Amino acid sequence: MIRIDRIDRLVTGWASQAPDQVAVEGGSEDMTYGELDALANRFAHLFKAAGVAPGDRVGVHVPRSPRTIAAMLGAARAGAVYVPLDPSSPPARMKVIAADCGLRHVVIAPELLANWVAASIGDEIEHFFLAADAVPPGLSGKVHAWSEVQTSSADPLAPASDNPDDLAYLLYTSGSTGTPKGVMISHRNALSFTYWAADLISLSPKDRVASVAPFHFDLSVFDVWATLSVGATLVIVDEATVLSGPRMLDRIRGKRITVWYSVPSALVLMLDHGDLAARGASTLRVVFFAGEVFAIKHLRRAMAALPQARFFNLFGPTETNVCLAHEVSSPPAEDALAIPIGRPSCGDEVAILDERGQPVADGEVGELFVDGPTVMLGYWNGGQRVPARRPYPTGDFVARQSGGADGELMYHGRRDHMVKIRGFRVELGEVEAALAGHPGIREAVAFAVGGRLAAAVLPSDAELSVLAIKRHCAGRLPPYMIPSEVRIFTELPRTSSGKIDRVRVASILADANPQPPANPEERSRAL
Amino acid sequence: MQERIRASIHQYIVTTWLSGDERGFDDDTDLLAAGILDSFSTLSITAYLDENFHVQLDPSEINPANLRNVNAIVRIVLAKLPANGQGAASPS
Repeated sequence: MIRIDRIDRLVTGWASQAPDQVAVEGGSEDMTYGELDALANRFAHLFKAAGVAPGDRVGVHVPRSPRTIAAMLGAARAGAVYVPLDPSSPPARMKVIAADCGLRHVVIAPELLANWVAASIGDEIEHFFLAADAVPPGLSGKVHAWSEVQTSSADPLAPASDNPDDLAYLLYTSGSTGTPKGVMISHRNALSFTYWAADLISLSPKDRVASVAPFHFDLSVFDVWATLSVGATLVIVDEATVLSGPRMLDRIRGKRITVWYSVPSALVLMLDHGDLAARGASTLRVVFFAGEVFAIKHLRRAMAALPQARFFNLFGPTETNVCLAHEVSSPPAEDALAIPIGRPSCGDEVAILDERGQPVADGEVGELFVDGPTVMLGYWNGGQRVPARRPYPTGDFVARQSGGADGELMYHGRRDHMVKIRGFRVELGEVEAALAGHPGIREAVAFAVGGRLAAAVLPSDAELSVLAIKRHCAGRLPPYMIPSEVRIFTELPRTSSGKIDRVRVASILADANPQPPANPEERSRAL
Repeated sequence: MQERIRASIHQYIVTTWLSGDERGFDDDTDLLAAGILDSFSTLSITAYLDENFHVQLDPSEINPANLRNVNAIVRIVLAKLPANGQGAASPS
């Protein structure tokens, strides 16, 4: 089968075959394939008229909506590269990203434009509005009102390019250094993943796929482009609803969602606060999860609540898209420590190498290297394109279960989550998995703080004591892996994608770390 | 004297190894099973006894039996204190 190999052409066929099929359902607006196709053309014509040339970057800084998707599609049709920006990101970060990728055109929500003005980057950029026409005061840059988009031509455009290896979008991830890095994803990179995933679950026009992840987060690539490639319907769930367990479950049930892709935390929220276990969600047939480790006890609860659904663990950093997958065909045993991250997906090939670049034996831990169609083109770095190393070193430690080349891979943590405590190598993920195994712990993260192991714990049981947590660890971990410092939180800071914000938790622990008094005098006073 | 030593050691362990959370902890709590006692914390505890009570444990005395819980530590401290408490620098 010949498949469309560029994002900009995905919707056209469905717009002529099934123009009245709903492509995207938003909170206040639904958009059919016919309407989406036309609006994408309007954006593309307006972008070109505003001077957007093939290869130029177009920022998309708006909450998720049908119009947002039309703008991304329109940018692609103008031959441009869209750059989804986090609506909740502080102005200083926007400024760094805008400078890094040379943004001169941004589709923006009027309410977010104030941030750009505050960061004094509003004036150098042409802005495109998706709703209101009022121009905020203090802005001398050019602004295109929503009415301009609406009155722009809807005629089809000549294809900007035939090359599937063109850059399609940039996703800015927080590098370990703290500077955002622009991951360059080509049309081929994105669609190799979305077609693979659509085939895996036989995605069809009857499906109703939830859009839960923000567009700057790579999980959304499946939601948007897999859905539109098969003529299915994308159902946008706003951030406030995602963060509310009961409302999220109401939405899934009310909107008859069939396919769901999120970080495990969003499912845990529905289990803990949304009564998912009692009410279920009978329309849901596929649950994809990725982005963080799904604690076994929560995965078991989710699978019990959704017995009709297939569960898949998808794995891969933004740089490789999804490169491994594992179907959880039956609930893991209660005392299982982890589930596999699976086998190579999307036509990718993997290798597990030691420090000297030699393959490791089955069962031994090494770094995961990936090559294949989903591996990014490289990093965008201040206008310079830095090609990806191939095979790409993921920084993730994995081991292949015995069973030869067909054995599934198990996750052993991040290279940057490996710390040394008193000379011992400690994988923080292992400590976290042990903590999460306690029935009274909902979530936990571990860090090295000042040479000591520290853990932040979010309990599900208010009675849970530090002593109980330590006892639990002592039964499962060697002494050097038992956190010296255990802090119980009532709430943990989260990133905009819903994951625990490790950087912020670590800084809270470091700031508030009550080190033992340094000398006997202080100890005496402490008595 | 005995009560003072007991309270001091109790407080030291709660502060240093339980992040100040006293719930569930008493002077019979098994420090080994609680994940508190290991080679590192043993060094820290013996240093604490030396600094605060001028009690030095012999290597042969540094064993899980003597350090199993607060009561056991208090016993070994009392047994090692110079007679009549002379020279015992009680924290004050």
